[in-house]
Amino acid sequence: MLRRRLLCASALVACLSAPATAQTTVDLWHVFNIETDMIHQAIKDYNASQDEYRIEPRVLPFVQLQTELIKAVATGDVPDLITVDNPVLVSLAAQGALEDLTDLVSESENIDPEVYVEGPWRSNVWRDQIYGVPRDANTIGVYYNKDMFREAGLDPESPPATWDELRDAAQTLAGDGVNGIAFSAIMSEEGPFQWLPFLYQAGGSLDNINSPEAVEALQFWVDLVESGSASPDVVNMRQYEAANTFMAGNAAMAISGPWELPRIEQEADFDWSLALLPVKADKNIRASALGGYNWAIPAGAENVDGAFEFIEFMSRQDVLQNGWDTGRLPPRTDITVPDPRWPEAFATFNEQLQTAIPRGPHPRWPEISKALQIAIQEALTGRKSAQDALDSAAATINPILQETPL
Amino acid sequence: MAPVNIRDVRKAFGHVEVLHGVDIDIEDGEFVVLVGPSGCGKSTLLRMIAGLESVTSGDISIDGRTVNRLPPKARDIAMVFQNYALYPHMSVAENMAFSLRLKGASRETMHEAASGAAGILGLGDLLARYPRELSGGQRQRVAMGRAIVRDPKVFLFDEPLSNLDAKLRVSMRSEIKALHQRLRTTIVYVTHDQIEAMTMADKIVVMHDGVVEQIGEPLELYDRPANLFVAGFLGSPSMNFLNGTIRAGGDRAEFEVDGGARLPLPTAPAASDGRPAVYGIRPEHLLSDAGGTDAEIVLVEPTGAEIHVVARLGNDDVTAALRERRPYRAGERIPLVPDLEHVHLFDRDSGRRL
Amino acid sequence: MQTRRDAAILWLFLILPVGYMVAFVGYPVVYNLVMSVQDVTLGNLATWDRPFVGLGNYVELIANERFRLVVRNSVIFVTVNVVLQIAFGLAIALYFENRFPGARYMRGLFLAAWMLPPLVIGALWKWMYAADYGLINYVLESIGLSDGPIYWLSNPDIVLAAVIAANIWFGTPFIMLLLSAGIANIPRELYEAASLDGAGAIQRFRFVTLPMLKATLLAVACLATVYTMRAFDLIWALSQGGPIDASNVLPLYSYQLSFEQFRFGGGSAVATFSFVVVFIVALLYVRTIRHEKAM
Repeated sequence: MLRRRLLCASALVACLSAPATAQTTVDLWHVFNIETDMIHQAIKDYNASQDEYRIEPRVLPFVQLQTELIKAVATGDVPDLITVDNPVLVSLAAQGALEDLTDLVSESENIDPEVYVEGPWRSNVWRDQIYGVPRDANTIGVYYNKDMFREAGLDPESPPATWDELRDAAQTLAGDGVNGIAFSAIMSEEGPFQWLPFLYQAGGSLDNINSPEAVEALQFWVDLVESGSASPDVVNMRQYEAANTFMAGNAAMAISGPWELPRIEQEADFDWSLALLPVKADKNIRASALGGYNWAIPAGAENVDGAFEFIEFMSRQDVLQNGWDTGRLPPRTDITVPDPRWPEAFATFNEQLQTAIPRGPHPRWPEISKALQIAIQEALTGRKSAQDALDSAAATINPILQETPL
Repeated sequence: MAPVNIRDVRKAFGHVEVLHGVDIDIEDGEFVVLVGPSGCGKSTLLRMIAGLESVTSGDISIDGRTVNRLPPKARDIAMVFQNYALYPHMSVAENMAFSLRLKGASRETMHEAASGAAGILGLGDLLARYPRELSGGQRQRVAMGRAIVRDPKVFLFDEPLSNLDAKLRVSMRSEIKALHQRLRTTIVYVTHDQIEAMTMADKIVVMHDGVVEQIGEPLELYDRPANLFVAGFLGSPSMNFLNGTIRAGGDRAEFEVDGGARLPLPTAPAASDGRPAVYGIRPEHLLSDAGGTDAEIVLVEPTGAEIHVVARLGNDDVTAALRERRPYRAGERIPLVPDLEHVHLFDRDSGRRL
Repeated sequence: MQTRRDAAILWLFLILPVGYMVAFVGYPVVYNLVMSVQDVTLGNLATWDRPFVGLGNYVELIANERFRLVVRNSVIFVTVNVVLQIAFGLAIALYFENRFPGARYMRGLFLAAWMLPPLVIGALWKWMYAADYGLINYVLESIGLSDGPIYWLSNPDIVLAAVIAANIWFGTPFIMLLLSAGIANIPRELYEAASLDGAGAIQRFRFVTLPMLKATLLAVACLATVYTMRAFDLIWALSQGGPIDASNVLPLYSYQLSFEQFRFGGGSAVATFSFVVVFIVALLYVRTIRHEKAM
């Protein structure tokens, strides 16, 4: 008898506590597995702030998200909102895999193309339609070990500013079990990400990839490896791994970005600082890479409106200012970060961001990138001369660019 | 051909001793059978002679040479296994000549040897066949052929007929015996079948629980078993055993069975009145004659050559193997008379012959 | 006499495994085959209705020197792996036939290698192969076998060998297990008879072990070939097929074409090509299994 009463009572309570309207679940796939990234708190705050939508996040590693997305497209069961690496977005859009957000953006109060940094915003646009909204931006600079500089007789307060200075410093700093400099030349997007700035600094460009300027840029990297300043293993290292060697004291300098700051702060037990990428003395062109993630809504998503609302939420001042805690720069010029962590690095990266050049955007960017990756690796392993390697790359890239110019 | 001498041989597997000091002398050219129930250690002993098991203590010598430490191939012996152990991927001829091939012999030598062995064993037509195409008996012969080709000093047989059907077993028994007579090589033969032992051996070694119970010629063991075990092991149907007490008084000796019946004794051993003992009499030595002890027939089993009558004597059942064809029926009473010349007495505790 | 009901039950039992095979094996194979003769993009990925290009994808592949390199790598990778895994596996299996103290535990240790996920093994070996701080170079330099760091994973000439070595370490325990089972099936008596016939250890191996293992060896070789052709995780973790495709094999190449470059038609063509090869080997395997049973 008591059991019956209990059952009745609990059924009643269950019925009463069901919400009046069902909450719509918005499926979000993202890559930010650091617990302190701004997205986690934002999801909690957003879910708590309103009743209509509930964000259901799923975290995937960087390399896996694209695979998962393709599988989702094949089965027709796509998530509502994803984060996309900026150079890839246009390829997805060109294949019809993303929702056109032009109308939603024009109606939005918060999202105004004018306030966005040009590079990041351009990576969302394909044939004058808007297919995404930048979430964050980043770029690269040169981390250097001040202690090692002092020991080698170099001035830790004036890091290398030109290619020659970088080359010499790396040579001096290289020693027993220590590489002068570490960077990533791996066969993946990360390789061109790190090398393209040098291409632009030399005055080269993608549509003339085997020009003498371009060869000089590639030869610069080849020289670093051949002289012993950089390990031949760079062809196998991701940026994450290159940063590891720096933190472990196996490399005196490392080219990397602000996303490594939380880890460097924790792991590096030496005095370190950050410098802008050097310039080529005779060209004096400041250039860097543009990284960062964009929001996009897959074509055929069930909850486009809910997803876009969350995009707007994530683009507010009070959310974006928290991005820097994990090394994510805001992609908008109207966002200020009060009292930023790592203030020096913040200033340096922000300055560098002004000259960051986006990759593409081009619908066949992955193929262009692949040709670059192959050329970089062929030259660094000595398989081909820098000229020959870039000639082969040109043979692949030029037809693609003729079909669709950048 | 060579004598084999086994001196105080013990074998232990870890802490478990399975052979407790065995002494056997096998003469040159003798056909010796090691017989006993499963687990008595006969196969282990054979494998020790072969060199497939190590000797824990004691001495084994072949042809005067101690072979304890010698590997099997250096002992100049050949073995016929229970499961034949033929090489499945080689033909009959190749199987038999394998030992020659290992020594690098020429084709002709191998062919000659194989044909020779095949001739002796009647395998001439089968030289090109493979083991899987042969019957059990043929396979056994090939195994023997392989042993013959080795021309060893000693042949070892490890229960070779156990896998054959009854009829084949009988014919193979004679073949092996004939082979021995022809080759005159020393043979050590292991079996659990006492009929094989009786029919084939020059000398039988009865083993039980790791010890030798008795060694001797077949009929010797049959007529004068040294203990209860040997008496009960050899002979089929086996000897009748009755527990009771010896009653010796004056010139008459009797055996009082525990159930009350009284059976005659030829003579009583000295000073044995009142001694508890076991009365042993083989079925073929129990006759049905007037004046015998009364027993009630329980079961009648005619075999053709004899009639086995199981009768109840007091509290015990005894089997009598009678030659005369009479219409025996269960429930009838039958007088049983033991042939006094073949009565055996054993001590109740030790089992030894009195 | 078979009743109607018996027949119905028979059909039901047949339909279940056949249905499973068709759905989970047949369907993906056919899907892949169809994709390989079409021009596939993300836009039309979800439908079957895509432009037909005949053998265009295949022609493009064969003309591509990277594909030819990948095929060459795959052939070398599979051949060396199968031969050495069987050789080492057989040696280790035979070694463990001897009963020596601690044999059982050591055998378990060998299996530990096989039980780890290939990704973990790849990461492990990547650390060991690291040129400047890796274990292998450290050991080699300490015992004086090399006088400078060897660039296992960044030198295109040696990376394939390095990847093969790691895969052999990974795959041999399983082969050893299979061969152990085969060896255990060889009756002990054959070895005893051979001993008595005068065979030494090497002769016993040559005249008893090898012939008796023939069917098993063939079956294991087929199985090992199929497994190795599928090797993905370990190579991915170790070198990602690089540098410059020097350690790239068919499964990785197919993945890269489809999932990194969005060239789904090409990726499917590579996959279909691999499937055909594996299918032929699998047929061989089934035939040798039947032969093994007959023995």
